[in-house]
Parts: sequence; structure tokens; C-alpha cells
Amino acid sequence: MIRLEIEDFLFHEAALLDAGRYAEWLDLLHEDFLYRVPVPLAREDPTQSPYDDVLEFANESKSFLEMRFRRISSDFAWAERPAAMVRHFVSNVRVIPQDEGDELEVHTNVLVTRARLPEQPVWATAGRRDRIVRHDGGFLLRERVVHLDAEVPTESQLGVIF
Amino acid sequence: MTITKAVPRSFYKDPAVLDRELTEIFGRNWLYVGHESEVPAVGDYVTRSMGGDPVIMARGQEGIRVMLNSCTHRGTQVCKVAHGNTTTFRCGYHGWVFGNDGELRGVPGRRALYGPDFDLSRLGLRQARVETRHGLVFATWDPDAPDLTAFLGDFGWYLDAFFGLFPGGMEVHGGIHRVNVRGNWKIHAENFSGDGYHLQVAHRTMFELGVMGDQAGTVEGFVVNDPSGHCLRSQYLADEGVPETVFGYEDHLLEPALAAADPEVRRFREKTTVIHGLVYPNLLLITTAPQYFGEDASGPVAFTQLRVLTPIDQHHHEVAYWSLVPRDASPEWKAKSYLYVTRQHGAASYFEADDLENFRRIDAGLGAVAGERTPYNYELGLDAAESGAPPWNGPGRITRQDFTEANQRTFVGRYLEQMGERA
Ligand code: FES
Ligand SMILES: [Fe+2]
Repeated sequence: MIRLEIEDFLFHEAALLDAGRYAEWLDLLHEDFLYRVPVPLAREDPTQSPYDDVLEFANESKSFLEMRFRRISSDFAWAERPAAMVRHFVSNVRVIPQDEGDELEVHTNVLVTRARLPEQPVWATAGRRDRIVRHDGGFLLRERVVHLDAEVPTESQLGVIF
Repeated sequence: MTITKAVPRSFYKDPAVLDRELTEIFGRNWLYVGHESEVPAVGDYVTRSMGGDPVIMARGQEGIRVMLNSCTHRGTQVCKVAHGNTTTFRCGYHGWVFGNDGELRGVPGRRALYGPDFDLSRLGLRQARVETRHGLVFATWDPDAPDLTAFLGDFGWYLDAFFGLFPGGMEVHGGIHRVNVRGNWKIHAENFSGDGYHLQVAHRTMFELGVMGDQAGTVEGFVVNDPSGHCLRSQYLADEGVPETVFGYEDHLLEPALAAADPEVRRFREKTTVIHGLVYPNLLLITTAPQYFGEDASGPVAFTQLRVLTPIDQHHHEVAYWSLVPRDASPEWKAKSYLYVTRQHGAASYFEADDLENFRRIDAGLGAVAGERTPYNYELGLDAAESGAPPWNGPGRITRQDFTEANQRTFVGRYLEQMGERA
């Protein structure tokens, strides 16, 4: 069943992020991978999507993410010292059927907690829209759009990859 | 050695001080609210904050107004959303209706309940004084404040140089995004006013990763300030053979702009790696042209970012971020400039995190008894020798030295003066 396969993939991917195994996580990304967090804004019209077409909290390609992880190994990455404890809770996995092609659209809900000891943990919730492609008997992430449930998040809530 | 007075640490954690700031600082100065391009059509509005006061910036038939987002009946917010277009704001409590100019237009049951002589004209939404410069909309609650030109003083020249380079003007790309960060708002204001000293430590990884290109060459920085608290720092590539241009713009736009520019403005803008500063008390600005943010973002592209700091409480502030682009730039260039600003200075970027992390740590280090006995040190650059001559002739107090806290001393001095403390 495709959903179980996808869940295995997403749980593995989340576990790599939680464990800080970033090189292995990067291996799960398609070369054209893009990670986007559009800004949600309160709108007059409730039928309109709250996610802005232009404004983004984040827009990160695979090569930019490589820079992010290279930075973490520096002693001067102040915001990573001490490293945060991060946990992803991934649920409500839905595989949206596509008409053609071998690409899958996968919707999930996530709750992500982040703790930089000795501070108390903070958490954030979001919906994710992933595009996932089959590759070499497994999967690769092609795109992840994060629909954050906060218009004015804290910098700690923004300090994770969802 | 002159000992410079610091802001007492208690001013970073005392709620009574924050209350006084809201009155003396945010209630008296001109505050940046937004940009004209955010409300291009009649009826367009955005909701913002001026210190502790929620406001609506709206374009009515007669131009842009800034008014308190609070019903004159019982104070209910009349607008809850970030932006939109409307002719009226209807209060959700008893239904008073205000025009997009703030005038009270209707009161349910008016004749029967309030009588025939009830005068609506005195119950419009409270209006702030509004003035604009290069499309930047400033407002103040103080009827006795000097006009905006007088308020900006010598700094007006620098705002012109910063926002007026392109004859077609600048516009906001998209709108604003906001983040809630830990640390008193003054920490952030002071940092942007002219801290060239923190770059090589706080932002070292940015240079190590090649974001700013090789930058092996010599750089020379200068700081400028105005006694009314406005500050700026500009940094130049000083090596022979550096092209006389402003980096990171499209040629079709830049060449005519530079040809038409005042020669001193050109010398101020050309060869800069970064210009950043503070329009006192809480508007921050920066322009720079990074070179590399990954394979899909390589080659120099300029961005211009504005920020407004709004205290949430004494230990937290909200940062609102605007990205400005030349109105006549191509859509592709505008999108690229926005990508660069997001990757360097967006709220979620890991370079921005360097600064925000230090602000958190300042908050965590405030302490109490012993902390209060350990004032911050503002002596950097008091006795330092001057470095080279600035490339431009301009107004304001120009310090020929990059590693100096002249701007921080200016900010602190003006702040303490306005708070009624002797600087
Ligand atoms: S509070 Fe607005 S109508 Fe009563
Ligand atoms: Fe910084």
C-alpha cells in the first residue's frame, strides 16, 4: 500500500532531521528540491488562502541547505550552540492521487518541538505539501511547502526545518 | 578617557520603563508606518503598530491616513486583518461604521437612541499626523512635534541618497512579514545603528561560506550620526580598480540613475559593500549586494530591507520586515532580490539567527543585583585614531573610523535625553 511506503519514507526523513544526520537527509532530496514557507496573513475573505503568493519566511534550495549544514559544524554558528533538540511528529498522511507521471503529492500535518537547553521547549504546528518522486526503488523529496499556523511566529519556532 | 553613560540594565527589563518609552519615545517621535506602494488604490489599507497603538494605514479619496484601530465607542478594534480594500470599517460590537478616511459615517439607531443633535464628526477614528518622504509614510501622535524634515535633520540627505537613487522610485515587494523575538527592542536598534564590530564574530560563518564573495580586499567603514538620534554606517571596497558603481542592479536601470545622480550621492553609494542604519527611534534600514546563496542564487544582487521594531513587552519585540525594490526593475530581478533578502535577512534565515541569538543572550544575561552594578561599556572608538577620508562630502557628524561606538553613543544619548535622564 502506497501510504505505508510513504509513511516509512517520511518517518525516516524526520528521524534523520531529529538526529542531526543532515548529510543523509540531503541524500533524500532531489537535485531541484525547494523548501518554501509562505507567510500566512489574516485576510478579509475567508475563502481566500491565507498563504501569501510572494512573501516567504524561507525559500531554500538543496545547495543553500548544504550551506546551512556546513555552517553548523563551525564554532561560530552561535544559534546552533548548544544545538537544539528537535522532534517531528508527523501525522494525517494523505497521498493525493495524480493523473499521470510518477510524482506523488503528499499532505501531512506536523507538530515540531524545539528545545535549546536550558530553555523550555517551544512547538509549532503546520501542514506540509510535499512532492515526492520515485527513485531507485525508493523516494526523493522534490518540494516541500510548509503552511505554518502562525502569522507572527517566534524566532525559535522558525529555527527548524519542518 | 571619557566615560560614556550607558542605559541602565534595568531599562531592559522594567515594565515601568517600557510604559514611559511608549509615551516619551513612541508617542513623541515620527514613526515609520509603511510605504505608499502598499496602498496603491483608493480603499487599500494595511494594519500596523505604532509602539503600543494598533493603527490602520489607508488610502482614502484625500490621500493616505493613519488612524487608531480602535472604535471611538468602546475601543474595539475595527479591523482584524493584515491588508485589504474597503470603503468602510464596521465595528463588530455595536455596529458603528467608519469610512476609510476614519470619519464616523453611521451609528445603528442613531436618531432614536442618541437624538437628532448627535454629532458624528467629533467621533471619527483618532488620526495621527502623516508625512511622507520617498514614499515612506511616517506618522506621529504629537501635535507639537516638528515637521518630518526638521525631525530628520541632516539625516534627510542620507534618506534621499538611500531611497532616491532610482528616478522611478522604489516600491515594496509583496508586503511585510513579522517575527516575535526575545530581547528588549533597544538591543536591536543599537545593533543596526552602526555595529561594524560584531560582523567578524557574530556573522563569521556568512563570510566563511562565501556569501559576500571573496572580499579579500581592503574595506573601509565610516559612521554618520545626527544629534536627534539617526545613525548610519557605510562600508566601501577601498582597493585600486574597484569599479565606480553601485553593485547588484540591472545595467538598464543603474546607468541612467547614476548619470542623473548628484555626484556626492554617487560617491556615497558607489563601491559600498553595505549601508545600514537607524532612523530614530525604531526604523532600521540596510542595503547590500550578496554574491552567493547557493547554485540558484549566485552573482551579486542588491536588496534593500526596512525593519520596524515594536516592543511586545520589556523582554520581547516584534520585527516587521519590508523588502524594497526599484519600481522600474524587471520582474525577474525583483524576485531575485527578494530571494536574496529572504536567505540573508528573512526572519527564518540562519544568518539572521546569528543576531537574534545574541539578542536572546543579552536578555538572558541581564541579571539583577550584580547585573545592575555592571553597566554596558560604550568606550569603543573614543580614543581611536582616524582611518581614511570618507569618499563623499555630506552633512551630519561623520566619524572617520569603522570600529567605533559613536552611533551607539548617539542612540543612547538621545534616548536618555528623551526619557528625561541626563545623558
Ligand atoms: S465598541 Fe464599536 S460600536 Fe460599540
Ligand atoms: Fe548583525
